[in-house]
Amino acid sequence: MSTWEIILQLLITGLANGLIIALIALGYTMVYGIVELINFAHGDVMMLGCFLALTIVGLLGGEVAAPWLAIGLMLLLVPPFCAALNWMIDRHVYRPLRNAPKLTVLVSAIGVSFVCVNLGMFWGGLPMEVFGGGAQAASAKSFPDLLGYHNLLGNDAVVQLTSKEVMVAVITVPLMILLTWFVSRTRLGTAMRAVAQNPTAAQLMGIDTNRVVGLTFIIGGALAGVASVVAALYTTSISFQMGYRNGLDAFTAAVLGGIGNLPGAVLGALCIGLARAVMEGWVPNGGQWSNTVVFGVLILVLVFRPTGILGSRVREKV
Amino acid sequence: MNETPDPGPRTPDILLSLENVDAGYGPIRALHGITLNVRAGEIVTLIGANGAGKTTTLLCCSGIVTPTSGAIRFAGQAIHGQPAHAIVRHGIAQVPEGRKIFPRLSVLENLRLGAFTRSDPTEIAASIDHAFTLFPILAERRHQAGGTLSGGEQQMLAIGRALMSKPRVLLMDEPSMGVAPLLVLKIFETIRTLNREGLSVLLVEQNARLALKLAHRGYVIETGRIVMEDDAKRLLADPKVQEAYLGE
Ligand SMILES: Nc1ncnc2c1ncn2[C@@H]1O[C@H](COP(=O)(O)OP(=O)(O)O)[C@@H](O)[C@H]1O
Ligand SMILES: [Mg+2]
Repeated sequence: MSTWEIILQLLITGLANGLIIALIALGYTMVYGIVELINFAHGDVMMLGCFLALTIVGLLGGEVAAPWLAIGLMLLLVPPFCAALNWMIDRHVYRPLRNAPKLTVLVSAIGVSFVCVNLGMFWGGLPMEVFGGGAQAASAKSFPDLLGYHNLLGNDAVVQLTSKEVMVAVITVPLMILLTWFVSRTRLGTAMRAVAQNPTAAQLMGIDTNRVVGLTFIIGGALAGVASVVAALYTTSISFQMGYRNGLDAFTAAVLGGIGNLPGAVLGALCIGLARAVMEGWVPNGGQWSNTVVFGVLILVLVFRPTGILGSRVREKV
Repeated sequence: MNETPDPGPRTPDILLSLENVDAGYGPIRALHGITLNVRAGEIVTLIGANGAGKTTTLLCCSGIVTPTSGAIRFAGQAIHGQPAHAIVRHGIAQVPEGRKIFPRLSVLENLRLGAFTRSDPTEIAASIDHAFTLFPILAERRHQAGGTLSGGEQQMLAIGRALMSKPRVLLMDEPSMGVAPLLVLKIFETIRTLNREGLSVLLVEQNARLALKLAHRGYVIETGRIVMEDDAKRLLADPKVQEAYLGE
């Protein structure tokens, strides 16, 4: 491979990774923007979405004759599931703690994360064929390769751009455009920004802040749900611990872009995706170190530029 | 025994009334049995020193603070205990202390949010035009972020935004704070105009002289208690008020 081909390949893989991370990072950053809470369970909600996706494939009979039908069905069912789950977590765990000290909520979020991880492990133990009969609940599950391998650049091209990368872009990019439009142009989106900027004033406008916060968790959860389907199809492997890595990537992306800042989260996610691609596809034995690099980025940003690349949308104190 | 007419909430022209309202923040008691009322068409001012409980009183009316006891009625209907977002719909709007403009929303977006409880787009557009007529500077700055406005412009935006809900009573918390003197006069003039158009106002002010000159009636609050209540003109002439609040 020539240098250019290597760079091109890393770009393709990195951007595809980054787009998936971005969907998760948006959920982190939206929730932080509105209630100043790091929802540590967010990555695990995405993980549970992957298990639902695999269950659906299993119910359809594993290797599917009509892959697009299966993908459509997953995209129809998994996002509402994750949205409902995320909403329930807020309604029953975070909302009663809305006026509690920050640390209390943070510890509760970590607790919810543990609960989700364990639910994922039990789920992997279901006696379904796609879960290996459930014999080894904790082992990683392989996700059927519904899209198959097909290099769009030709069979003998060195650089690979497969239908999977195209699928990632086709699903994630329009969603981000839709989200941007919703937040910046609609009445509810404006209400959301208002609650993030000054919740008391928002209430005085007649906005029910609890409902707006609930809506934020629903949207964040739905995006995580889409991310889980896309990630499962792209990486063809899921595990009950994957929420940790995805959460780390997405959280770092959100911090890197400036927590609370939506375009920042996407930009940060693309950076993290590229960094992962470089570590895993280019640096010899870099794969072992890629978590370290992401953690390192997180620490460096927090120490040297806590407001992130685009500046965080931390609430002004008037 | 009940020969005199009941001055309570059933008196027809009383729009907003607080009866024996207690309120506080956790263990801190800020209000001790506040009783005051605003009649339809009136400008009522509440004056008092820093920390006396003026802001808390207004926050009780708008539902941001929930009274621990007592009653608040609007047009005869009990509203205490209702959440703030529900109280706006009755026709009570607040211009909060420190203005609380949404700093990264445009002037236009701030105004539109003021009409969150309304749905007719043509009527909302008419209200925006009305706000622009009252404060032409807002029209010039319509696409500018609220946070980039000067103190006085933000105050005008806060008033315009509050009016967008078509309130019957406007609660104003220190509209002169952080505003250049010339603009303060302009803002007070606007309050008078709005009042002539039928809006009732409960005005909290540090600038007691200005407030008493504008208002019909006034209350004086000290450490969470109403200590005086009278015609604004008589309060203005009262030696105790002059000494404590008018710097004479
Ligand atoms: N958020 C708060 N938390 C605790 N105490 C408060 C809070 N806001 C006001 N107070 C206290 O309540 C009392 C009344 O305050 P406030 O209503 O703001 O007075 P004013 O508007 O007349 O200056 C004061 O003693 C003040 O310290
Ligand atoms: Mg005050």
